[in-house]
Amino acid sequence: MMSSKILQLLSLRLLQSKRILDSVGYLLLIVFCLVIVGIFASALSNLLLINRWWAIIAFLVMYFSIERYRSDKSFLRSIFIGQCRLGFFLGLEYLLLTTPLIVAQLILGNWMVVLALIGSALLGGFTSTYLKHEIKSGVKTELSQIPLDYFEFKFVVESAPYTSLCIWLFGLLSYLHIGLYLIWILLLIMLLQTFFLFQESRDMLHWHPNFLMTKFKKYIGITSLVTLLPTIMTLVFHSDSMLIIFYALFCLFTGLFMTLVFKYASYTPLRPMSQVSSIASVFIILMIIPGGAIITLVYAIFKYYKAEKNLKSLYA
Amino acid sequence: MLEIKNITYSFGQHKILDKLNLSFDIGKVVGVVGSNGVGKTTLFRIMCQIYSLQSGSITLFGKKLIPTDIVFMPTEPFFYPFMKGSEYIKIVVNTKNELEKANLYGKILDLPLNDLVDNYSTGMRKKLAFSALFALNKPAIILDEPYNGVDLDSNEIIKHLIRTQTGDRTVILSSHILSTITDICHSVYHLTENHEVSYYSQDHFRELEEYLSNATKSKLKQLDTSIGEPKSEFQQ
Repeated sequence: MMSSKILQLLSLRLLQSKRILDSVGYLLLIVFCLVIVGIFASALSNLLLINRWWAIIAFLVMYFSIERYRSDKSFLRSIFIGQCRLGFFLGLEYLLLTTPLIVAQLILGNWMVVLALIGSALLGGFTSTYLKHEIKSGVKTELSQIPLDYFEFKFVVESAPYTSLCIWLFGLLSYLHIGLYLIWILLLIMLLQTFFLFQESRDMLHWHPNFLMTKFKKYIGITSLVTLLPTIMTLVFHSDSMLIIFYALFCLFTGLFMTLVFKYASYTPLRPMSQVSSIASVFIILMIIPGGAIITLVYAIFKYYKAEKNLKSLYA
Repeated sequence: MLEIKNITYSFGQHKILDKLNLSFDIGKVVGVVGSNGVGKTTLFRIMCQIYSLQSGSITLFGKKLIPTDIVFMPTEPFFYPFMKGSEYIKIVVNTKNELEKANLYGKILDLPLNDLVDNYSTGMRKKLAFSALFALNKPAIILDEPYNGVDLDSNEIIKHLIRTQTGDRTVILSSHILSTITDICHSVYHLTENHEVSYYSQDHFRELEEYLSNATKSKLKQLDTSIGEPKSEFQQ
């Protein structure tokens, strides 16, 4: 009975993937994959040559990202009797997710990596049963220093104050190497997507003409404040890479503008935004290419007018 | 008998439950009522071991309660995206008999089981979770606000099903609409912000209604005294 339950759930997960792909459209997906492969082909080939164990790191990143956000643990616990069965199912699920990495390593003939990946996936499944998904209670520490005007920023920092502090402290390490600063900025750009995921209600928005630009200006202030010290330190210790530092900052503010614009271009008071837009992610990836931020900025400006129009139609 | 003994639970410094003692008889429907935030959902989550027990014990027939002995329907049930109603039922149930029952409940509650759950309304999701979970043959079942968002007809059907299909299980349910509780429950526990618990058997439901009504009246009186009559600001 229990093995059929595992099979049922696994086939459902595969069906889900097929339905998601159906909803996106295969043509768009192929174009997206080709673009990604085109952008990262050289980086990927270098990575494959540098170290064959990169696949394990890729697996661990995927594993912890999924573990952090998966909300089905309670549901799964109610279905499977005992930790062992649940662990076995989760292990199989992670093994399926790791299949592309395993196949790639099989083609390259890295048998040890393949075995390590299979072992990690199964072990990850069993470990997962002990990692309880934290259910947020109504109790949180309020940080009154952050004004309510910056509620997106405020709510995220209040929900995870220590993680936020660690992320900021990571920026201070950039004096060691310019690469750390670039990684930190990329991390901030990606986090912006999470900050602005929360959609306020219609009454919280307080729309007025020029609302979007005012909000952007406000956030420029707080973003500058957050990045000030690490940026100064990086400038002092790596003054020869000044242009790269400025480009990284340009990317950050472009990312901020784009995220805000994307949020309000698709804003509706009827339903909460549940996921980061895939288009926004593509434009973030684009910024990694030298000069790519200009393409993102142009697209964000085009979207800005759409966002203004959207808000006007809702509030004017 | 399902027994909760001396349960205390806190979120940081904030004590939600304090030395709580409750007991639920087999074959009975028991209501748990109380204001928002008194700890009803927290109690249910502890019972299902979503939250770890901080102190006290929960036993079923004298033995430690294990999660698989209890079914929990949360206020917002979990569904995978891109999943059909029928698939949810198949995954939740364990036997052919449960599957037949769940499908029947779904049919009675007018659910389009071959549609994706993503396209369901809030009430339909609630009804789907109820159909599948109530069909399970487990000793205890917790229904956390099962009537929220559900249409009037379906509310009556759910009430009827609970009344007639409980059998030798224990059904624990919470609701903020007192009539939905008093209509079908054999007894009710009333939890308060001061961590006090009052027990009302079926014969004493009138007292509970009066108590709650008086509490509301007193709050309304205070409110009227504080804010006074509204002044017209919109009429010229």
